Amino acid sequence: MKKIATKLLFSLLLLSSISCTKEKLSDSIIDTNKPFLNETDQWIRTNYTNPYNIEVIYKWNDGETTIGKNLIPPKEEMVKPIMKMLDSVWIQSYIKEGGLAFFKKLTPKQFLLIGSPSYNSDGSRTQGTAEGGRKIVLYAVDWYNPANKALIWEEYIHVIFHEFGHIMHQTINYDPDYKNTISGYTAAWTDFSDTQAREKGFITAYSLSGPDEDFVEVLSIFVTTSPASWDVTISAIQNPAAKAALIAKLDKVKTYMNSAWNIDIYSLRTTVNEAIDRVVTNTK
Amino acid sequence: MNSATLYFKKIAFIVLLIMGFSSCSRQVEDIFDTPATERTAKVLENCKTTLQNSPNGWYLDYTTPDGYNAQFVMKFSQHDSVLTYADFSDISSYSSYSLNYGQGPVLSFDSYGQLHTLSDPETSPLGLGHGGDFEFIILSVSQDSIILSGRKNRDRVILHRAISGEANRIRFMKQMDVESGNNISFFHSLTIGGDKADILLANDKKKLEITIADGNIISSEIKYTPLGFDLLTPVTIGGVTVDKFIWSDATKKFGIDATSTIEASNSPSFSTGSTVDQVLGAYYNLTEVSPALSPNFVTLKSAFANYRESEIYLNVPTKFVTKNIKVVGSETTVTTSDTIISIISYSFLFDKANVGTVWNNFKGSKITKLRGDQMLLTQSIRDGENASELNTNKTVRNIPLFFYNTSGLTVFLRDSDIYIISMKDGKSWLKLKKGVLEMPIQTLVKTL
Repeated sequence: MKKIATKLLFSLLLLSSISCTKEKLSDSIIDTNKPFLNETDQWIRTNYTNPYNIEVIYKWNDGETTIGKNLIPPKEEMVKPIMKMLDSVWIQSYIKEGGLAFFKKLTPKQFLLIGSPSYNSDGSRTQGTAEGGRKIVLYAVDWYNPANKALIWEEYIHVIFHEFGHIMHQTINYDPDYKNTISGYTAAWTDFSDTQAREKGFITAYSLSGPDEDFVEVLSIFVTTSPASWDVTISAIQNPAAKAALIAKLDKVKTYMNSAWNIDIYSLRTTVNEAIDRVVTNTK
Repeated sequence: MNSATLYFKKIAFIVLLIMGFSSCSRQVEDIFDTPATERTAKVLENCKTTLQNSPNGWYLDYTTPDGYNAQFVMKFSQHDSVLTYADFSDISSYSSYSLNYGQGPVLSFDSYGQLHTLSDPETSPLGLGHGGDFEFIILSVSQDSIILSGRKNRDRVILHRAISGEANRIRFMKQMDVESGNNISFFHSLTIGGDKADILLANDKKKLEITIADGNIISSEIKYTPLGFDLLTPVTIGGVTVDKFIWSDATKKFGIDATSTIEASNSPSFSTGSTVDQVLGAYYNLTEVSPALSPNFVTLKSAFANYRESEIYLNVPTKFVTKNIKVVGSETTVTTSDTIISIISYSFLFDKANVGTVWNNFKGSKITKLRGDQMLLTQSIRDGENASELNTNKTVRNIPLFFYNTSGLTVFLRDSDIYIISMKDGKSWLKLKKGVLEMPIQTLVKTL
């Protein structure tokens, strides 16, 4: 009896769940029309999307950016030159030293270009951000001027090599012992200048913020600056312990790059420096 | 009660409950005919078609939350490109737009164009800029206007269907409309074959008043064109019939050809009437200042916190009351005498309007009529409150210097508006209104 009653209950439940009228589903809100591609779009497709599966976003899409910041899209005429520069300095250098398969495996899948710098409420500026190795945001794209080597290094080249460094160690981690090279990591890293940081055994003030940042700072600065400037930086350090620590850190970076990715950082440095010089020279 | 009965009762209760919930007829009527996504899609489609179907584009007069104003004309093409003219750069350029789902239907100017200048965080104050928007929620769409709301600032922005030659209307207004807040000359002229004509924008801002001889004014309606503007009533100047003006990107001027262009002038060639006689014998309050003179008044207000207003005296009979107080021993005698003196002055009033002992800070000695509508004021003494401090402040001093400039002033009357314009610099002018007191009185106390 109980069983029949229970069955009856379930049939009623089932019946009731079949609504009498059904609302017609509206058409998909996703626009499936083929987008219209202008010259910049086509260039991106040929040089980034097709060969490396990288999307370059330069048109505004509010969902992609930080809420509460005043930012503007980049001038369209800046997009091709800056991405061309990154192609020769960053993509082609890594492909040459690490191989196409390596690059395609690790490359971030999305670039978001912002025309203006990203000012923080404390007056400082965010240079670039990477979200889990998937998306890289480059700010101040409108400042791009290939004749200004210091500027393109500071704003874009250093940023992209730094972020790409994160993707590498997030894929294959470096020796955890790296963080014990020298003590001194601090959340109050903004209180230090780069010179002060070096006297503590850190390549930049930002390196003080944690081992991961420290590791990619050493890597990105070493491979993107000239041998002479690296040597000057290291030899200027007064504190022998700090100097020794930095030399040891570079050695650990070298070992990691070699064993994890079969890349010689000295050879990579030569390739990158040549590429930067080509970019700067060709504009003169 | 046995357990079976209890069980059936339970079941019956649940069945009733279910029946109650599974009612077929909807209890809540839909407010809208269609679901939200469909309605949004419809608004977007309608907005896109409306935007694209205006052959002259759309006019946008945008004042950002910080008060910065700019005017735009935008032409939306079939694809995603929009051709924008902006008054501040005076050139047109292409960028892109899109219609998306955001917080409702959104019109987004998604690639860099002139509009983004209003949102650039590199404009002072750093990080904020003018605080303009370039993404807008679409509030309503009609054939003549599209009402938008800035996504960040919620500022209301209206796109108006543009007329033919809208960019030329904006350009011409910026050059001719003295009420526009632009630092422009009050008067303009056109010279053809040695013959001069004065060109003035009429009060309704839709007509031009062209003076070709004293008292000979031709009023002609303006029709803007993609190249410039046409005059619906042609006018003959120097034997040439003028009915068409062309804008030149190179000279940034409107003209009938490369040599005959509309030029700024410091004073009109022909008299605008016997205006000097109409203004003499009265005093005036200041109501408006041209952009060229306004920095002087800004300094005045900051340097002299108790400054209240300016009064301008043009041969005003003023009653001067003198109280003579004489004290001899314990006896005080007061005698009063008064005289009427005709006053010419530019006065700054501090904490009081038209009362007190002295306020005629910058006095004049005579008014010379140069023409029916032009006069020269000759300065005499400066006295009264703060006269010396006013005179030593180099910025503030420019105000009496304007008034007593050595070229003179044009007096221009239109409806109830009174303007005095420097003949030395046509960009410097003041707008006045007649004072209300019948006869100003000044009292001077003298202790003998």
